Amino acid sequence: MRKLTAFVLALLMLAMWTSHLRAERVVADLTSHHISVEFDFSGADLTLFGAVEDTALHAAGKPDIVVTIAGPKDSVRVRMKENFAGVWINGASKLLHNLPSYYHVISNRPVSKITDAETSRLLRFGLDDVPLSEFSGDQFDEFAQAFVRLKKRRKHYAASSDGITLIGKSLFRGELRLPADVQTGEYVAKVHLLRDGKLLSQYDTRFQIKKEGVESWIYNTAQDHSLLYGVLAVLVALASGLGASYIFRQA
Amino acid sequence: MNIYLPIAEQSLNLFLIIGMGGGVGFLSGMFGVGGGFLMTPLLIFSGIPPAVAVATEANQIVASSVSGSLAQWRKNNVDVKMGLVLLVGGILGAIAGVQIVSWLRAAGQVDLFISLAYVGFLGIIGTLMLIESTQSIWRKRRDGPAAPTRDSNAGAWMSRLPFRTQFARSKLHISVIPPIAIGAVVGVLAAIMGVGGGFIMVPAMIYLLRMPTNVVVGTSLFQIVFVTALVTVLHSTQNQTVDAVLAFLLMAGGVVGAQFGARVGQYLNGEQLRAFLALLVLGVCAKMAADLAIPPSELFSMLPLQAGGH
Repeated sequence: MRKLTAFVLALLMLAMWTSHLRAERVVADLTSHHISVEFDFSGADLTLFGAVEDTALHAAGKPDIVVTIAGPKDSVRVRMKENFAGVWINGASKLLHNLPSYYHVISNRPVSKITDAETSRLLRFGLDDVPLSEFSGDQFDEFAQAFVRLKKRRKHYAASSDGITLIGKSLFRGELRLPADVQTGEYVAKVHLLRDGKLLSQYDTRFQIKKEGVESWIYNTAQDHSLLYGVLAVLVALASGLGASYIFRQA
Repeated sequence: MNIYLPIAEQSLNLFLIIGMGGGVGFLSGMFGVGGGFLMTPLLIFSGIPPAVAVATEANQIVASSVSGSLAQWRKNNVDVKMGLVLLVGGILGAIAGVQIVSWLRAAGQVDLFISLAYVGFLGIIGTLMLIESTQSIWRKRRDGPAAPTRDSNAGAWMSRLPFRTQFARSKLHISVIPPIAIGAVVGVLAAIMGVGGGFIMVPAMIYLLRMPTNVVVGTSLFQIVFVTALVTVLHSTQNQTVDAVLAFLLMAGGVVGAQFGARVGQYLNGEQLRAFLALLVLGVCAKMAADLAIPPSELFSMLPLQAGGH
């Protein structure tokens, strides 16, 4: 058994060594993989750091790093207001399926300078022109455009061409901002290493956003035991109303 | 310092929330009104989804009306039988109102509906209050205080209604239909506007039911406690829109503000206070109406499909 393990290990190391010879690799990690949403949550900042391995073969020039961060997917109904008898009311609507609730693209320089439009589209680097490739062609109508616009306004969607800082030829660091109203769930950061517009390596790392503590208890009770939640809300109200008047009568 | 609201799913400044609770509590203590019709619009103006604002405010009103209700009970100012009859209507109205909110939420029109309800009611109530208070200020200036007059014909048709019963505490022998109807209207309003409904119920009890004024406030508070409690539970189970953290912070500010407001109110001139309140109500009404009528800078809005549940 031990022999077999040693043999497998030797094989793995050989494989890694040869792959090093073939191409550069990118590795990265986040400062935290668990973000808890508690009562004082007002958004979070995450730092991503990484390295380009085996740069010796490519001594010429700095690499390009593009990181996409996608939040849990959602179906969203987008509504358009229409003027009805002088009042603006919700009129036509469209259901957009399975879109990331959060999507940030951070890079060391503008994506348009890093690679061509086709690669950018395939790797989903774009937000404006061809966002997320879930929309294709004529599907990218005014509702889809509005969706991206609204998401950008809430900082759920963003592109930052100076979000990645290269340190020397092989190290890099990135900052990503999660606003206070981000959705809970699993987030995936895809780190892409490009050189001369070509994708050389990709590395995925994940993190979780979870409601925790009192917030989580309140939210889950409201969802799963809504009758109990309602009764408790009433009891708290009765207690605080009666308690306050008792205190003030003493004073 | 910001605090994260688990049901509204956003973070809001802690002191802003307590301050709003305290400010509205102060005004409601000063004027002797519930304050829901000011608090719900304020929450909506601060960016809380209207459906959450309404349900959460109903929860807060339980706290703000229970102590007053108990105080009136101790003074024997509650007509329990009348309160229970009003409550029967209130329960029916609350169930209907919460169901209406559910349907409108699904149809994407709940925000519009809540705003329209506010514009309509605040407009009418504010105008009536302004007319009444300016008239009594004028009257006082000319010939001193005058007793409010009651229209003696208004209730004649009521005596022809069936199911008459005796309300001993109010010294009335009337049909149960009008109080049930009044209770039902107030129940619907509590569910769709997040108000106690005292501003409708008190005048209705005085001018339609002709109850003695000393039991009117106590009996309406009695009904409001139970109806808003029911609305809280129904919104929780059906729409999951009661934000307990937001409600608790509003209560904390509200109960303290109300105590101080009540003390200050004793030293102020009643008519001028009512005129000021009327202007405040009309101001909120105008802001809501403007939000509906002004062409929005963004025509689109979005809502995750499983809003409030996944």
